Amino acid sequence: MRIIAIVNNKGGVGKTTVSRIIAEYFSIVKNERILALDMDPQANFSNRYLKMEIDPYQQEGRIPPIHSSYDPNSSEDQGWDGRSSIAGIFFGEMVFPYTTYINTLEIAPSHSSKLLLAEAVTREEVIQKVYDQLSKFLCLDDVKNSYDKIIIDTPPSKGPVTISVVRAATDLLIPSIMEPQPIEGIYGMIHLWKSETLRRHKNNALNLIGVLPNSYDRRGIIHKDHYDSLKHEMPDYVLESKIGRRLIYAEADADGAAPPSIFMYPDKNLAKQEVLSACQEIEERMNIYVN
Amino acid sequence: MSIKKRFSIAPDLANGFRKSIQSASANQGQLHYDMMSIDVIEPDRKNPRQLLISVDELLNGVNTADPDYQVKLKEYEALAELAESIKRVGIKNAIEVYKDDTKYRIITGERRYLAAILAKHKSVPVRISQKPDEFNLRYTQWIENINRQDLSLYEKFNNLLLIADAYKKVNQSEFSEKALQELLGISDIQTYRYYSLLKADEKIIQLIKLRKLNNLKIVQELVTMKDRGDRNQIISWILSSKGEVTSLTNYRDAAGKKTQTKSQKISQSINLGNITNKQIAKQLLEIVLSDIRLEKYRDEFKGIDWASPKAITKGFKDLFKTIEKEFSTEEIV
Repeated sequence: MRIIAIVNNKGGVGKTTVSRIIAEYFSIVKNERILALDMDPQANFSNRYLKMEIDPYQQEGRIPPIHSSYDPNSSEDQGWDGRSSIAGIFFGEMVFPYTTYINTLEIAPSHSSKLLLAEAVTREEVIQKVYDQLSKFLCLDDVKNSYDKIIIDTPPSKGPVTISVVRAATDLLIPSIMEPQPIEGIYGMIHLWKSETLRRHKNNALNLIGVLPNSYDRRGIIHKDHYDSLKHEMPDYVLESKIGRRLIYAEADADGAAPPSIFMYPDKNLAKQEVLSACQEIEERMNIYVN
Repeated sequence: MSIKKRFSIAPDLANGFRKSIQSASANQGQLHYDMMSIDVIEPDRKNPRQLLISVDELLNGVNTADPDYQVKLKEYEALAELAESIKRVGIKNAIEVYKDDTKYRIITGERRYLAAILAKHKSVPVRISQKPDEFNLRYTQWIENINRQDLSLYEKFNNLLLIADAYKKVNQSEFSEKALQELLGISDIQTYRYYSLLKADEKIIQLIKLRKLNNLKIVQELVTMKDRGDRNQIISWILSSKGEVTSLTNYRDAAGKKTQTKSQKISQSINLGNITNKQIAKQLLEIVLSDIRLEKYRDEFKGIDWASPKAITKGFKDLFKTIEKEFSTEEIV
């Protein structure tokens, strides 16, 4: 089972967009069993597939909707409020993934306040526990036997939650805009990858798929120059494919979008061709690296 | 004319990318640290530095009738001191282990492990390495052990022997003096001595094992001694000594075998005495030269400066040389 973490501690570079693209590529195009995890308190990834609700106790936060399998009259569900989030792993709670409109794609959604709480721990022994929680969850037989791939969207930070994702991951993808500040964010992630690589046994190495240029603007010189410069420094870790700056990605994100996925557009659609090429390159880089 | 703008990543960031990737690629798995339960850790029984005291003796005491009682008592005292330090500040350097089936075997850090048991710690910090091959395991243990002041020569010998065996298996060639020096990074003389240690025969090793001989220089002298008779006598003498022998001076004194230095060699020259009267010296020379057999040499001694004692001394030296050259012993008499 491969666990792909999409990371960059710079916000707004397209982590959620890329997470969605990859999750839908493997579930729709490749027909694999995919579990999407939304570890970002902003809950945008979750919002794409579920109707996330406003947290009554924290108005700016989001909580998952009531689970379709919840039966308040059943003795099994006694003591459960009917909502489940991936954040539950940090609080000893069970995690019940939600189904989506795609048959082979399920999601364990975000819970804003719980993820923020997990992110805010400061006591060393608690931090260590947070670091290892996601690994423990993903090692469960129920999880390993149910899914071919796990796709994880992360918050724009290098805190305990992101580190717990990096520790659990088999593969790391870093989307970025080819501009100075987002590229600084890449450096932070490379450093995280290095720390994890040094820490892990050789047989359990963390594959760095690479940097995926996102919102790439071919009209000006700045994106090209930064792309070339980055490729010069890390030739093995910058993808050839680029995801362009297109409105269609935002349109596909909108409520009630039709079709709901970029992979349901006609084959001649340029955006679809672009994302297919990127996903195929990502898949190649994962297949070259098999533990 | 406007200049076209060009952009690139800041040089320090570019440098950061390059170095991070190089470091990750070159050092994968090098910092695998964890806290591990003491129960799953075991010492390496083949570590040459292995302490004699067992875990059971550590916890329950050493039997006074044990032939190694004194050694084990010293080990216990040292470990107890380390245990006190661990209680105060914890273990600062992780114990290095490798996975061996269901257990983790110690590569380096056995003392820290035993002291942690004494300090009643349930878990210890470990660095989990790949199982090293035999050669690298023994070499790592040498590096860990060699700087300990209480490491015996016998322990060093055993460690070197294991390194030499492992080297032979890996390289399919004998462990040469050159290989030893390259591996250990030591001076020529230290290499010579350690290599001699490796070549020591059973009798010498027995002395080392009994801790009667702990001096590498003496071992080297014994191994390279040409006179086998002398060597065997020295070995017997060391064997019969009460404690550790740190020098062969006592042996040589006892055996009356003071080493002759150049300055103590018996001279074969004959000293004919001293004279201060230059006139008498001149007459003596003339008397000797008056011998008809030395007639042909008289001119050579006409130029002596009779006012200079140095010139007169040289004159007589030259005369004696001439006489010894000219005449055989039978002739002169």
